[in-house]
Amino acid sequence: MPRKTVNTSDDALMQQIRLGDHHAFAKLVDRHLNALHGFAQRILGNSADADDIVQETFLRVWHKASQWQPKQAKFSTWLHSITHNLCIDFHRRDKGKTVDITDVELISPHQPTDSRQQEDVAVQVEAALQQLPESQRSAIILCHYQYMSNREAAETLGISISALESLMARGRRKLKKILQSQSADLLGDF
Amino acid sequence: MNKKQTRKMMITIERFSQLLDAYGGDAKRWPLEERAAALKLLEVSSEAHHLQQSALTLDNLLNRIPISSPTTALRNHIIAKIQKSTKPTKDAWQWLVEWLLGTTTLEHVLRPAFALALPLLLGITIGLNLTALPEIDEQQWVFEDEINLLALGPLE
Repeated sequence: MPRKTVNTSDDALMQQIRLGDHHAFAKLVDRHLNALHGFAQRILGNSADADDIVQETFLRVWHKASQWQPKQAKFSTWLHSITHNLCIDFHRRDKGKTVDITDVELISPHQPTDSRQQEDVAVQVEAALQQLPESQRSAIILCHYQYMSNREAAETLGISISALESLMARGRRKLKKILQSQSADLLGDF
Repeated sequence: MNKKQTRKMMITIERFSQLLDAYGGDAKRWPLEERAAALKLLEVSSEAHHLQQSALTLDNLLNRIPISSPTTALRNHIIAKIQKSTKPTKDAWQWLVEWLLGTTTLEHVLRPAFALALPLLLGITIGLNLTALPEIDEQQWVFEDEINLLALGPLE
């Protein structure tokens, strides 16, 4: 008999996971893997570490399914907060491994100029993002890339909406400053 | 539209600038409750328009950061790890709460009601059974008293 997990909500899937339903878990992974991996990748700055964090996040979802309280928060917010906490722990363990823009090989000699320039910009912006304090970076990533509402992002980080706005404003200001110091052409007249 | 609603629909250029500083230039990311007012201001204020363009420059740069998608191998690895595992773990307290309150809305109502009704039903049943015990006639009481006295033996 086919399982009724095709259009099931996250909350309903979690109820099934609590009972040990592997198919519901697979459905949940398929639904959130991309977004969560992107989130971890942007916080950590690389895909390999993001793989480990995302894997650990989903294992926690499985083992802690009974702790999920649907009325307290949206499932994706809970999921992001688990990933965020794991990323913070990872950073604490792995302190010092930050990307320095001066260490990055910006130009590969075998690429066409336009493509190289595009890549240069991407590398510079990525490096600038990694230079932000973790809290500012997370706030920007949640609202800019994950398209979370201010309420959801604030819940994920466990802070108020005004604190979230303050983090994002300071983060964006710092980003502009870093990028302007790298290359004035990049930002034009800010 | 009344005055209260009109005031609610208004936003100052200072607040608009704060919104851009925090959320960037894309209206989709602005807080829902202020979005309509901010868009209205954009229609009439050239200063607001200029501020938005500036914020969009940084947004566009942020959008240039490439992101690699998770591999199918990662997805399969996560699922495989769970297949080996048994049911999600529960501590004793969670087990008790779940047993008492259930997991669905219907169970949230029925289970506590049943848990409360159970001792009541049990009390009524025991009470009814006690009153229904067969009555012992007086002759039998006297006979039982004599047996008991004999069992104690002669008093010195």
